[in-house]
Amino acid sequence: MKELTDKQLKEMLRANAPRENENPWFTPRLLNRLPPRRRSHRRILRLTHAIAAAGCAAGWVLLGTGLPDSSPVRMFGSVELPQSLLLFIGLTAVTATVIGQILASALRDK
Amino acid sequence: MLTKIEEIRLIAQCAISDNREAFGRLVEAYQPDIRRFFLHLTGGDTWLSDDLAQDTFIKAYTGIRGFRGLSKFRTWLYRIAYNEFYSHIRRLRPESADDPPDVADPGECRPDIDIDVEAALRTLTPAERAVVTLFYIEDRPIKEVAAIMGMPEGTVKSHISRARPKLTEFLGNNR
Repeated sequence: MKELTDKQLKEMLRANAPRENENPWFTPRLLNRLPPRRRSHRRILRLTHAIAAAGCAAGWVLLGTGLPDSSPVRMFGSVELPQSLLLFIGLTAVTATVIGQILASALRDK
Repeated sequence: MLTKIEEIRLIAQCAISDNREAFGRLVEAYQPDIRRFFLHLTGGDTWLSDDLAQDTFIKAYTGIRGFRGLSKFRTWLYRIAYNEFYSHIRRLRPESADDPPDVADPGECRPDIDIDVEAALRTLTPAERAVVTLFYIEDRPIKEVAAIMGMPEGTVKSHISRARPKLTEFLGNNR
């Protein structure tokens, strides 16, 4: 018998190869079987969150009250509006992201 | 199907912050391929395939920080899967992991398909079966097959050369 070529074998095998069945429980079952979370990871994550939260708080305090008069960026006072607005939007976005991360992490831990 | 960027982001989330949701998305993306790979290697044993696939993903999860990105994530995952299969074979028959398995029981043949690929694959050794599955069925290039199986490309080609006449004979007699 003449030996089949790679191309012929590929076509024959691919056309007739069985397919895996749908298994909706595969991923949930797997996630339940994963080993416990690493403690060091959790600690690092909490520390990072604390630093980020402290940074945001400091940013808001500085933006609202603590900027020196000479600074061109002040939230309330004679400052240039576009700059303060930009800073406000930036800080709001960062704060929202940090809060989101902290909440997501807390929910995951639960 | 994940984009390359998405995949990198999910891997980073798993490695850095132990994010299980991200890992779940990676599993969802790759579990059909890995389960199908095992289905061919085990000769169509669905339960065993799923168990081996589960163990593969658990090993991937615990070792994801060791993934350096030197190969594709898919290749890395297939390599873990192949090692898992090889360990399984060795556990079953420690002295003869390279021997061909029992030839298919005719009663197991499925009448609804023209060619019983599972039976054809069972005529091969485990290594040949893995090469045939990856090269012919999954259509992976020889370079990638070699990376997955941790062997030189020449050895992969030898396995293909040895498997080709066996498959030709089986398919010729069973069509």
